[in-house]
Amino acid sequence: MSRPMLYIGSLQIPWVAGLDMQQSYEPLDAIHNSRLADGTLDTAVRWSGKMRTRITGSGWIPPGLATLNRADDYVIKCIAPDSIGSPSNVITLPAARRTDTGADPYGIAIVNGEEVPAPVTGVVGDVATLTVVAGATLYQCWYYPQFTARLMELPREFLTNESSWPWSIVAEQT
Amino acid sequence: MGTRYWREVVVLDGVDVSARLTDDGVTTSAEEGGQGIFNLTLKALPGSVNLDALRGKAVTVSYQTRTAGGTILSTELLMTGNVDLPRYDPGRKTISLRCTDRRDDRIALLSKAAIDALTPGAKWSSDVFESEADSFQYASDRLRTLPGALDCEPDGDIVYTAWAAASPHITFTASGIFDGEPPVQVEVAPASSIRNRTVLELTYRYEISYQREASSGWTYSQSTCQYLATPTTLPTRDMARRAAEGLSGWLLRSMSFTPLWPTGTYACSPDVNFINNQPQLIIGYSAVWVKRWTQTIDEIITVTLSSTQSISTYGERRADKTGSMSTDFDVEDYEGPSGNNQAAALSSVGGDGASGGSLGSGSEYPPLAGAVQNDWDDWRKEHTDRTAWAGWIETHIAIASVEHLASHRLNRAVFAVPLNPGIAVQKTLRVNSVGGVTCTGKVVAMTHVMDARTGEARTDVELALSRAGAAGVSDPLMAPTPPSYAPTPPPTVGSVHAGGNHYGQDGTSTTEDDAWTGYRGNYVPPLAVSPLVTFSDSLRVDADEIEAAVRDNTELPDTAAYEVAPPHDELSIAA
Repeated sequence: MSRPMLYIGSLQIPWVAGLDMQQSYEPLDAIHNSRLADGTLDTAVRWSGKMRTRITGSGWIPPGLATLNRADDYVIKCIAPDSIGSPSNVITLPAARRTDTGADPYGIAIVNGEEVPAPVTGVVGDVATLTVVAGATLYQCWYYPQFTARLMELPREFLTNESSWPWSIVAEQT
Repeated sequence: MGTRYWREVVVLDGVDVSARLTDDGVTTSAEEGGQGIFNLTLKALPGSVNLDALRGKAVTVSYQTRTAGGTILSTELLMTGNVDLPRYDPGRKTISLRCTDRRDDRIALLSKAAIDALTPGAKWSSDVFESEADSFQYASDRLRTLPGALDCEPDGDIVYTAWAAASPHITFTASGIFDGEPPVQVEVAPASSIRNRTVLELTYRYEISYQREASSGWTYSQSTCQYLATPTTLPTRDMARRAAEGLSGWLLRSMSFTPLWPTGTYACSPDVNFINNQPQLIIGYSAVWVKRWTQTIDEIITVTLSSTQSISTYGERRADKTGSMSTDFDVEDYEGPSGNNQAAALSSVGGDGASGGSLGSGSEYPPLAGAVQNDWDDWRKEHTDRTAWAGWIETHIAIASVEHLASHRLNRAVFAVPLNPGIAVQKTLRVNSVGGVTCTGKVVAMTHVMDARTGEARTDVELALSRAGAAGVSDPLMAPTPPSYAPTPPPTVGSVHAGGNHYGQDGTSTTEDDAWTGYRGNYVPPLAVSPLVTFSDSLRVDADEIEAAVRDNTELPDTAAYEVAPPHDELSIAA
């Protein structure tokens, strides 16, 4: 599985600017957990389902992020696959995912604890169908998230001793 | 409890602006007897910001529950109010709104009749409170006599709620109260804050008007023949009238005269021809006088309110207070500027008054309407207003009673629960064995917290717990029977003295005594020329002093006692 290119809006981060990129996801929500006097967990949910991502990278050239700003919305085309596991080979994917070329969903199956390919045979709407694998106890469909976000942090550096250009982006889904 | 999906819903001036709320969330707070308040922040809409137009706009805050999928399950009002103070933050481009439920304003806009209807059973006396008070002060005054509060319900209606815990509207167990250290905090008020005995010394000053009517007169001491043999000077009608009218402090009601014998021949052995050429002379008169006076009474009732169970439990905690009221009576109008001044000369009846007829019709200076004769035969009337008095004394008693009740409910139970729109300051809650605490009380303060940033949605609760040692039974707080004043009359009550005959030139050395009443004159010619002591030619009328028992300022002490039994709410704490 080759890695697709990272896009911040229409801005593509060149390969040589992100040779050792990392991307992490964490959910964003207003969920408050409290214990009641009998020990029961009470969960109050004001909102949920938003995402926060941190992308770091470094390369031989700068990433070209200078035109980005923290006030505008950008469509983030992510490079770290997220995944959905299911005992079924038919898996509903989130709508907030990349559909551009090179960022297609990817399927695997777990057979006897081992990963084996289970190619996606088709995606209709958000429903992906993976190739049925004999003996599979679990299917996973990998996809690349894509969502509209606002940039929270946007630091860039240049390290003379390594001649490298580290940078990072923290973005939160709008 | 599981998972609760919720939203705060804010409607401003009829428009749902929930989508414009920032994640600052909304907090509504209410306190017994106070204004409910809530604050919220909206994102400003593009364009001009008209803060002024926002002031006074109606706002409602609701709590909405939903399914995980967003389907609305319920929307319940938490508070209804108006924007008090809008502020614009240009940095955040937000408008913060400070809102209140306008409890005070709404009360101020009520008519006094509406306030009366809201506070049945309250006492109010113009001798305790300011008569010209505005509606808000009027309501506050009435509430001083009621163990309860006027508060806004979530829909904005103002209702009266008694302090006493009702049957619990909601009971919470350990599965309904947030854990804490401890989950239910119980705090009792210091014993020094308790009031379980109040002694009121209430003085009511009023006047009793009296009218005493006295008859007296003068009669010449010699018979016709004696007069013809040893004539004396005689008084005239005018002298008699001036003497009768001059009786200090008395009003002359009527007067009749006995004229000198008429011209004729009188069988006096021998017969004597007598010519009466002085019709103004009299040989007697009778008169009726009226005395009016007032007596000031200070009716001093010592009222004791006791909370017996509390006293035996916490020791006596006493307060002493005084109060006074009076009922006005125009003494000068009744007695005259300096007391029983003759209002006007009596009119003559049956003659010209100088040579014939009598004075006054006998109906002058009647007793006051409503006056009744007492054992002294005086006309007596108490100038009291017992309706006002009862209102005054019951207001004082009610205020003291409410102070007793208030001082016993300063104990608190504090806890927090998942947001519950059913909790309001009008409600009674019960905690059933949570952290060892079981209690029942009325909500005195509460806050709904909806934190859109953290997702927290809780209700903080403060219950008032009335504790009095044990339950008791209160007395009705009715005015006592006022003390009566009816002194025993002496064997002889004071009267007017007009009789007496004293003649000089009688051959004795007796000299005049100014204390003599009646007529003082002389034998003419003198009975003897030595010694020759001549008296003045005068008539004098005197009267006794009015007895001190019905004249002097008098204090009438009395006592009354009432039991005030504060509720003894459920409270137990297991260690």
